[in-house]
Amino acid sequence: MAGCLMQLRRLCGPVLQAAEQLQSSTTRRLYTTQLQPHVQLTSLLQLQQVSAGSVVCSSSSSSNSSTFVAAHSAATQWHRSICTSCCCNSSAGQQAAGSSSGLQHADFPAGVPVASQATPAPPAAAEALGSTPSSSSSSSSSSSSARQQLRSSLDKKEAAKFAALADKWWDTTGGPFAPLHALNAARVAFLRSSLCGLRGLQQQQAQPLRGLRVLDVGCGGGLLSEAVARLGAQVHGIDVSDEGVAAAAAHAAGDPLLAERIRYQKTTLEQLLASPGAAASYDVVMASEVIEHVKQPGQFLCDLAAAAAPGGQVFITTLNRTPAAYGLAIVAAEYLLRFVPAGTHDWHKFITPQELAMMGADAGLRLELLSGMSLQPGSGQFSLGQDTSINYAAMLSKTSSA
Amino acid sequence: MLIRRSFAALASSEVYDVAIVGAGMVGAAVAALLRSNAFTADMRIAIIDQQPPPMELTVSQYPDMRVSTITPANMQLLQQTGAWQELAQLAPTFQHMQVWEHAGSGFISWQASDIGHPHMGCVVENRLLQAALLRAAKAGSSSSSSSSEGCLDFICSGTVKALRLPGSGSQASVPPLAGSTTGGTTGSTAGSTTGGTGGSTGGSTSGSLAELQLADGSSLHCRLVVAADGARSRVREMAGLRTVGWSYNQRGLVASVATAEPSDTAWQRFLPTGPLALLPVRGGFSNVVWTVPPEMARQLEGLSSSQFADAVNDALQPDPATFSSSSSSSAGTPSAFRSGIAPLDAAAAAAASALQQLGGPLGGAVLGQLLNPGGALGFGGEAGQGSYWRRPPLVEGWVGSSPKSFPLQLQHSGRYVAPRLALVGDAAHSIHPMAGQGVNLGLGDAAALAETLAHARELGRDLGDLALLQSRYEAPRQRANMTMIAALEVLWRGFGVQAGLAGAARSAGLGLLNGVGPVKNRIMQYAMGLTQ
Repeated sequence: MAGCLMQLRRLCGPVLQAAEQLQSSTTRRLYTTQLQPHVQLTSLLQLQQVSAGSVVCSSSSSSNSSTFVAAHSAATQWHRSICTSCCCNSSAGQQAAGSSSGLQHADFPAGVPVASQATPAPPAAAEALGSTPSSSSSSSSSSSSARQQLRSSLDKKEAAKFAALADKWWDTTGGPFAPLHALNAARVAFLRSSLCGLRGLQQQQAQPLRGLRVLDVGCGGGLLSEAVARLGAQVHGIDVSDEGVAAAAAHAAGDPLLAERIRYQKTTLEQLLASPGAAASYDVVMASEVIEHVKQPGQFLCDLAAAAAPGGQVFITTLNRTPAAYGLAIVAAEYLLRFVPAGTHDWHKFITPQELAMMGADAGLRLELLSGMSLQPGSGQFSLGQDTSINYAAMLSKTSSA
Repeated sequence: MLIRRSFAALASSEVYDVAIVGAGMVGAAVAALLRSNAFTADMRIAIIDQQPPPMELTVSQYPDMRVSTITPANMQLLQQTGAWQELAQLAPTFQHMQVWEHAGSGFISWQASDIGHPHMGCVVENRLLQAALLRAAKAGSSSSSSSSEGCLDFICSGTVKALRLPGSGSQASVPPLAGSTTGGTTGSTAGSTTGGTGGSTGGSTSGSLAELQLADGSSLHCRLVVAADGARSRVREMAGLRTVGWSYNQRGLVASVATAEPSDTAWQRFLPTGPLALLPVRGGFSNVVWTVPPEMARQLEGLSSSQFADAVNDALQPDPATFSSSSSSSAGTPSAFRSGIAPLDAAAAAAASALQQLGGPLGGAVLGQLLNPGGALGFGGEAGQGSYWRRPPLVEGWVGSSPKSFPLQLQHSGRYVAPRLALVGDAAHSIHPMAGQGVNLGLGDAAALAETLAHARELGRDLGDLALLQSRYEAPRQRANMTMIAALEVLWRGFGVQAGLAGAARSAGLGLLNGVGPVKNRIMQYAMGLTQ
């Protein structure tokens, strides 16, 4: 996820300059801080295009439908071969989701000092976070009390460390997560527009998602969670990374509105689903830049569907399995530029939109809307469009039969 | 931690989305524009000023002497906010503009019809514009409540005593907030590697809110501070943002005057001491804006109504020797007053060298932009209809109160934004009032900032995010404002002050410009805000 995006950024920037910088710099931080992210998204015009369907392919009516149908049988075959059991045992699923989130943070800047002072050795936060009652995952429990508990369990040094981490996650002007910030506006625009369309919400307002319960699987530092909370939703962000969750919580604590609307929890999707009241309790389930790291994407989609309420939506962003994505995300970034460790991404695990549709159908999810997210050369900004060959976003609805 | 602890007691209903410091025209425009956009209409907004601002459109017998020229583009902006409806009757438009020389016969005149517009702008009293904008901002918002609808609170409890912004590396000069930093720091203030946590007490700074402490001891938390507190902005100073600028050692003298006949023209004459403008205002009166040396300002301020009229008429009416044949304001086409093309080469060379010296590359770019909109120019003397010198109306004396003057300076802030802070209007840039552009630049700031915030809210972005403010507000506004500042400097240095070669060149230059329709129209379209 982040790795891919960073790679894309880097590649689309002045390549020679990038190579020079890479040679001269030993840390990724040095490099990334020189990147200037300017997220400019989507004007209303583009949003309207999305809602009007001109950049969207749905299974029923779109310019891509022929491709879509043609890919159907092949995709089904592929799907059968890799997703051996869609309602498989929980341990496999757990492993899958665990690895997903774990891998998601493989490109967390471990080499970067997160605080200038000596970092305290063992994260006591893990304990503290682990002690967060799992019952709190029920969406009716008070989020603020859970947050209070989380906060009070952290000692000062830990808090400072996570605050520094949060500053890294939230450095929109050039930090290691700048590419994610660059993507954020585009994915939020797609999410907002498609949810408004599918749920009949009024677009022309600041908080169209008011009252919706949203689960953010693999929330990381909370980039997507915060944006969705500002759009009005009550967000539950989960991640397997202690650091991600703690950084996210530290950042959201800065604004009472976010603190009231977001609850972060260190857990896996499977653990969450096993807790009482969690299944089928979310209006929207999001997994952004996660599924490409999952061992069993079919099962992962089943779990996402299980968390969604009847009639709810599942939102996915990921990388397509195309030569273009291979060239940029794997060959160039991992092997030529050696920007992220080789093996961060496994191209074979990338998923095409068609496969996503097939696996989604098996999981009881209907693909409703699809949009490419393309990095604009020069500007460094992602925008929504028809080109799904590298990054794309998809909105699926839980079918009644599921 | 400390910051977070202090927010633990804070409910989201106590947090303002935007706190606007300064209820002047530009601050009011920000509030009104936010209120009129669907994406920002439900914001919680605070307007902070020392005194309750005017909220009524009370019209006195004579127009106020403090007026502003509003471009057509910004008139549309006012319409968008709903403020224009109340102002329309009180802000007369003008259809002509004439600029001419003290010596020589150089002049340039514009007509709105030349560029297909019904008018070239309007002149409005500052107080009325401010009140109309505040009324528009207030309309449709609840007073102060916990409702989910937007609210607008006026906080008139004096000055802002202290400002706390999330760390930006420029916080050293900010006075600490008493009582809010109790407890030990974690030492990260000293050891922090980035400016990002420099001013903090060890907590996360990137997401924390801005805090304003007011003179009455209360404090206020918000997601974005908008500094609209004028050229001597205290907020800007507290944020440690530096300005560059200089004083002109001149004063701007203003007065409301009665004239022999009403006028629909904005008149401006370049005098050796500085430019003098006569603008049509409400009720058939006019407004004088006269740039003069300090000692002359003192003299003029002390004149009786009729003495002042004589002084203005002396300065504005044609020198009989030069304009002898121009006895009527509309008459014929005395060739002396047609645009002179003769000293073309000399004028062009002088203008170019003046730009090189004074404006640098920026000034050159400006003139290039003005003079070369779409390629080659035809120097064919294509003077449009009505480009004849006309005589301004006779001034009969000041009305209402006696003339007042204020110092002139140019000041520009190097940065317009910091984390959770945006400067607008004179707080970001104060300029020579020569072309009446001051408030127009400020309204442009307000529009750009309001659009930035609407974009942020549409996509769930943080209103105070530095990258957002830099890319969508600061960068475009600095480009626009620097362009105008440079253009005005060029006009001022090149045409406004007697300086040997420039003095000779400008006379020819004005005639040259007047003769070239496309160039002239291009300048006016730019000044009217119709092009960038």
